[in-house]
Amino acid sequence: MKYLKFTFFLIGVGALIIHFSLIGMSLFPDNPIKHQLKYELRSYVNPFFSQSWNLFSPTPINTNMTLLIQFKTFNGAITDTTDWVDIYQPLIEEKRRNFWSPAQRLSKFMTSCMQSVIESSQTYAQAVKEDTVLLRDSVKSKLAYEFYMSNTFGNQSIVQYSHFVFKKLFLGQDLNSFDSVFVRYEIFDSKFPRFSKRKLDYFDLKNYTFNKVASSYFKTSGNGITKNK
Amino acid sequence: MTESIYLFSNTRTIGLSIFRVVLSFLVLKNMIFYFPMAGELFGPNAIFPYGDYLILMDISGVGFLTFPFPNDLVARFFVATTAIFSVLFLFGIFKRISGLALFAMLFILKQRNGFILDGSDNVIEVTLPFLILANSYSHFNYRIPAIKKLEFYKDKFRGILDCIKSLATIALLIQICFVYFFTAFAKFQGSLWLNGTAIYYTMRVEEFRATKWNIWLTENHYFVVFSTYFTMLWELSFPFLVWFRQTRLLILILGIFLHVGIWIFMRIDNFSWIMIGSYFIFVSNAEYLKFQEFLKYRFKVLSRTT
Repeated sequence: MKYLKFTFFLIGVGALIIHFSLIGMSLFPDNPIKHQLKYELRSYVNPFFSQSWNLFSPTPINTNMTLLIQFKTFNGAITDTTDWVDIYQPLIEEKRRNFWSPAQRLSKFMTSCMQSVIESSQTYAQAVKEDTVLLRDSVKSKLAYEFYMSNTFGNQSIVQYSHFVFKKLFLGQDLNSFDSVFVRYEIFDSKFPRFSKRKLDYFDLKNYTFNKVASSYFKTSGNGITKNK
Repeated sequence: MTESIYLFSNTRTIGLSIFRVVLSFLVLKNMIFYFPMAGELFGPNAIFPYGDYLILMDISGVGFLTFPFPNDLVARFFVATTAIFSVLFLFGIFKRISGLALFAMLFILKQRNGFILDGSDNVIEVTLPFLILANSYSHFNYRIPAIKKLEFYKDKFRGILDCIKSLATIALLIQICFVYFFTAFAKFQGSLWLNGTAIYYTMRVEEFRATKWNIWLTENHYFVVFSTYFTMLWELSFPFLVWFRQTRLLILILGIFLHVGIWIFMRIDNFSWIMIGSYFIFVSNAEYLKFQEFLKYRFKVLSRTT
């Protein structure tokens, strides 16, 4: 029994060393060994041991994000366009008011969506730089961009979330009570004064610089399928 | 020496039990928040598209775990069941069985709508398997008499079971160290961290500007630079200094200050609590008993003088 226990212990220690070596390797920045073992690492770590400890690092979040959405409804001959609605700021304010609030989760959802869209947009811009056809043909490039963006998790989630905003905005009316409803959104990435200008008024938007990612219109429907207009 | 390693888990039962309670309580809190909007978060027409959930389950190779979420009521039932298992695990009822069920349900919820999750959920996900295996059911539990039937098997395999529990406890401690080591490692690659201004941005950004004091505090460059470097150096030193008795207390107390500060000024609550909860495992049962003796002595002295 004693030897059995010792053997078992040694096997366990070996398993832990292998486990944490693989986890550690997957957490290190890109390097030749990680590159060489990328498929093995991915298949071991995902989905049960996946972890990421990069909150606020290497570059901490340093811009304020805003998510605005707008609906266009068609009912017979009547077309209506709503004002832009800020769907992120109310969650932030709710989170600030209440220490224990579900708004935390929803604001996290919004942030994840916006980050996904911004990252996808940047990835696309980088890819276009390397594609001579898309660089020359702006129409093709726009179509490819819309197709690419419409398939990102972030975009699909924002459009899906818009169903709930729509219900709230139209006092519980369902999307299906209109002939068709389209939604578009804009993400503002606003840079508040940098550290060297920290004495400037933080709340004065004149001291900010803005970046915008705008979507085209997406047709929304109750079952979550979205289409470009 | 080897014997003491086999029984390592038995020397941390108080800390492990406290961590189990903290973890279960946070899961329960999350489920209470999710429950009223379970349909919107996890239902068939939830804010994260159902089709994307199926894709994620498929590419993760765990399609067999796909829970269908056919309507909002089932989503609510699923959240309620997860809450029940978190209560069972909190009280150590059905021990590893309830822990395993909780892990599976949290995994499904993560896949269904990962966009709502934060760092604390990631900590729970990677520590829970080790916590399930470790000896974390000795304190703050409700004992069911019928379970005693299994004691015979326990006695027969006690040596091997102790071995598994101890290795799981060591793994849990290493995993906590990994969190701090890799977050510090990433910070040392960021220019804003290296030039000492990162805290200025993290405390000012709208999402984390929790108090009206954030702007005032970050106007002071001494505060910004000191808190930025303190965060980096503390995180980097934690995985090394927490193992030594001489430095453990200091590093843990500084950690509590850091996380309470993050909670107050940035309102990152779950992450702060789960990390502080994990610190209890680094303290041995003997140290808790010593502390208890010390408190008893102080109370005695205090009552004599008054």
